[in-house]
Amino acid sequence: MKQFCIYTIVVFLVCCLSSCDYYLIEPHKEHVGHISYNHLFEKEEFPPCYSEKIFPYYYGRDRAGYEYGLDSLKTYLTDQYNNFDNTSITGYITIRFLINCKGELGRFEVKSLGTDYKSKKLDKRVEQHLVSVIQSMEDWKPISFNEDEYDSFYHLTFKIINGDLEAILP
Amino acid sequence: MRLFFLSILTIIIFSGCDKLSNETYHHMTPDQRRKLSSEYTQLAKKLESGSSKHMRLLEKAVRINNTNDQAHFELSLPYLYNGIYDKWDYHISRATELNPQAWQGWRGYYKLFYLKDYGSALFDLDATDTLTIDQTDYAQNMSVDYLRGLCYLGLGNFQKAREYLNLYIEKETVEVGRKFIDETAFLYLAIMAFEESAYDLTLQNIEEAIKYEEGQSDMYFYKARALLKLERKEEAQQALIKADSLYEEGQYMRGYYYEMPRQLYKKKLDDLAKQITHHTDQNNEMS
Repeated sequence: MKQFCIYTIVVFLVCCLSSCDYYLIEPHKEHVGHISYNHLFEKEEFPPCYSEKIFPYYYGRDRAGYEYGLDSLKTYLTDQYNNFDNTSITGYITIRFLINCKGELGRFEVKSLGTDYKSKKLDKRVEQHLVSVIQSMEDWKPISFNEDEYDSFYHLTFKIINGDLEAILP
Repeated sequence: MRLFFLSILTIIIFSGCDKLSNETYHHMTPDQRRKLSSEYTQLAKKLESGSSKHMRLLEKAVRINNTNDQAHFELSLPYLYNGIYDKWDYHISRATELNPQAWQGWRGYYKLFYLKDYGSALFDLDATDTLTIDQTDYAQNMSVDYLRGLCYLGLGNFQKAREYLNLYIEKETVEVGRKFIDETAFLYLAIMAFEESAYDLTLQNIEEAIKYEEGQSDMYFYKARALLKLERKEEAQQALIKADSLYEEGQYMRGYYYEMPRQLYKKKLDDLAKQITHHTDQNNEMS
């Protein structure tokens, strides 16, 4: 009898799983690019102003970004870049983070890819350094719609070839 | 008790099978699946790109018909815009494998402008050109020759860049007329000439760029720079005023999600203004 019950439960679970459609395969509960809280670079949860809706940075006319423009941001990051004498780094380091409605940064996450766009371990020190530089920067502008400010997710990608910083995207 | 469980199991299996059969779509003919998948793709395109519903519908379209290249292409874009390049690459590569004639040029375009991956972009653009014989391909309404010119510019090979930009200009002149050529082709020729210190040639190309249109701030910026190099300060000043005013109006080269090769910033205009003032002051002191 016990075995029969277990069998029933297993069949039940299989049927449930198979009928759950894409919710189990790729749930897409949020917009592509949404960043959930992680423990990677912050000890405490970074609070967005409105957790119900976080926009991509490029929405609307008044985008989120660095207050003094992308050119100043790129110039500063290029000046601060350090490869720790590792000339074997080749690939893309993408740092994604939230800019909340007060212009504060948090929920950092990092992903490294090779030039074939596949996951690749580059150099943790460089990744950590780049995150620290961005974290230390002030003057970030939140996304705004009709002068109301909201939260958004933003990204910066560092294209590195043989340890040299070739480009900062976007 | 056993009968109770047996009944429950039977009900579950039947309901589960029904649901499962709907979700695997195995009861449909290939044509029906292609049609339904295409309908889901079209429906998804009406929703906010990258939103939950948009992505779910596209993934459903792919599950119904896994050869739906359009659905893979649409799936790739939100990942590209948000810097998730591994997933972008997966979907755009699937789309390209399924229909290279349609998507290989687009992949090259994205690699060029979004990822500044000039070598890889060039590979895709060359490949897309070989797929269609005696026909110039267009990705995102841009000629593959023009795009190859920009790839070589990014790679620092000015000779090849000029070759392709001139090829683009020649072909378009014959096919649609000189007036309808993308004026930025002349701008990039001017930029290369400027970077090689050929200032007269820079001015010639800029004049071509603004022959039929008012032009963009970038054009007057390079005009001002070339004129300053040629010691024609007053004309340089006038060109810079025009560049400034066009910049304020938003008339300068830029992408919505990316920066253009040799992107113009306000700071560059301000720095040039300082240079012209400094140059004028120096000359006044000397005289």
